[in-house]
Amino acid sequence: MSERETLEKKISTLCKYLGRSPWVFHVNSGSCNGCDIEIIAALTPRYDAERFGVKLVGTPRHADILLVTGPITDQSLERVKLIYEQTPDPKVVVAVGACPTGGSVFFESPFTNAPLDKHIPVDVFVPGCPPRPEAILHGVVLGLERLIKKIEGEKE
Amino acid sequence: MKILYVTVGLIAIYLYVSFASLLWEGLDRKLVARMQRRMGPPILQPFYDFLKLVSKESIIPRDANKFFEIAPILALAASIALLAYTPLGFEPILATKGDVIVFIYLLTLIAFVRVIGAVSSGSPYAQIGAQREIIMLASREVPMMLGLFTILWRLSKLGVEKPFSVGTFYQYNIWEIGTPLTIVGTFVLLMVFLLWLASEIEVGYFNIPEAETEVAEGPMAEYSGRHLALFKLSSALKEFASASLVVAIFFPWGVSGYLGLSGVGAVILDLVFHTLKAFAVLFVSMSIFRAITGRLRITQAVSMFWSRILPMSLIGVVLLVIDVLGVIA
Repeated sequence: MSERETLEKKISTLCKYLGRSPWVFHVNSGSCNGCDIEIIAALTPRYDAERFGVKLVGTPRHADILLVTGPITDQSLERVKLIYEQTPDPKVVVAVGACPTGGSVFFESPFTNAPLDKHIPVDVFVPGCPPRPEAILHGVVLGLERLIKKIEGEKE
Repeated sequence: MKILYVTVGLIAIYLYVSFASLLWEGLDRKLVARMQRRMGPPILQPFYDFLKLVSKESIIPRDANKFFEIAPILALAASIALLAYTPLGFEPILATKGDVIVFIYLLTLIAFVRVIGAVSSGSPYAQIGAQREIIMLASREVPMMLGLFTILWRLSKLGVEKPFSVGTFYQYNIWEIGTPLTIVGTFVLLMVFLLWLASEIEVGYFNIPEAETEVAEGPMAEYSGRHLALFKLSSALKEFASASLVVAIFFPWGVSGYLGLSGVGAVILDLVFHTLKAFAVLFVSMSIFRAITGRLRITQAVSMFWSRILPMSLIGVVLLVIDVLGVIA
């Protein structure tokens, strides 16, 4: 186990209530707006993510989950890294859509930096162009499960 | 002995009000969700949020100065001190002559400390939020203080022991005077106070400083972890204390007198009844208001205060004054 993993585990044990109130921050790294609309759809009354305590916050300082959309263009690369560092630990990163997963139509473009996990640690990739709202909610749940596994792994 | 009694009472009230005010936040989110035909979060959601924030990392920005860390503690301390002067179905613990000024001072101090914390964070978003908060603060206090002092002045004419104390409302209330002019004037002032309450807790029209989509949560932009949790708790306490003031002015009736209780039982029953009344006032002024209105621009909000709510308050005050001076018999 690397030093970073040990540290991550230690941090995640601090927080037992994260699964009850995951606050979401939405990072747009040059997305075409398709995934962004699907994220908004997941928060509307039809799917109502608030019933799990999910809240869309306006600043990375309050966030627990980062939803990253877009192919990470050259201009947004520094900002994505900065936002990741500004988010307090423990945190979960979910890459939403085909772009941050593998580049999608921008594959091998010199101006984009996909996939996202070359730059910041990613917990879950949600593929799809755009992914359905159910898929995004499922991705968030998977990310939280990973965090809980980290917490329980420390106890054993 | 007196000091011991006051300290124990204040701690008990602090624990009870923290529980009640966080519970109200949960009820409010559930009720608004039901109005929008959603399921809504569980009623205990604010407790989960609070526990989560307490256990998370708290980041101090590089550009922040010392006040950034002190401000949340000061805000919570000011709200706990406020509880000692808050009417909660019985006279405040530290009720004395003229304590209404201390009440208003502490209420304003909480907002002011938030502003100091925001300005110290070094974030431009927080500074815009802080400016908006100060502008709102300067506008909303005038109609409220005018109305509050007039009602207390009218009650002091009836010969109370401690004039200009928030405890007076439990000796006489403004409806008891019973002349038509007083009733109309008090009703106008009730409207003013409901609007003031909405602006004091910053919901609906007046959610301007914390506009999360425009200025990234305003004054709270740089706060995270336990510092944010302390601010959340202090604003929940402030919400409850402001609603308590409105309840004490306009609906001070208790139930223990009718049931013939006395001593500790009466105090507890009155406290619970007062909590229910505060929830009812907050339901009108917070939940319904939040569900049916959108956010105003800061210029619109200021002009609303000075050109609508202040004249409204003046009309109510003039009606009360005419009645007591007997200008028209």
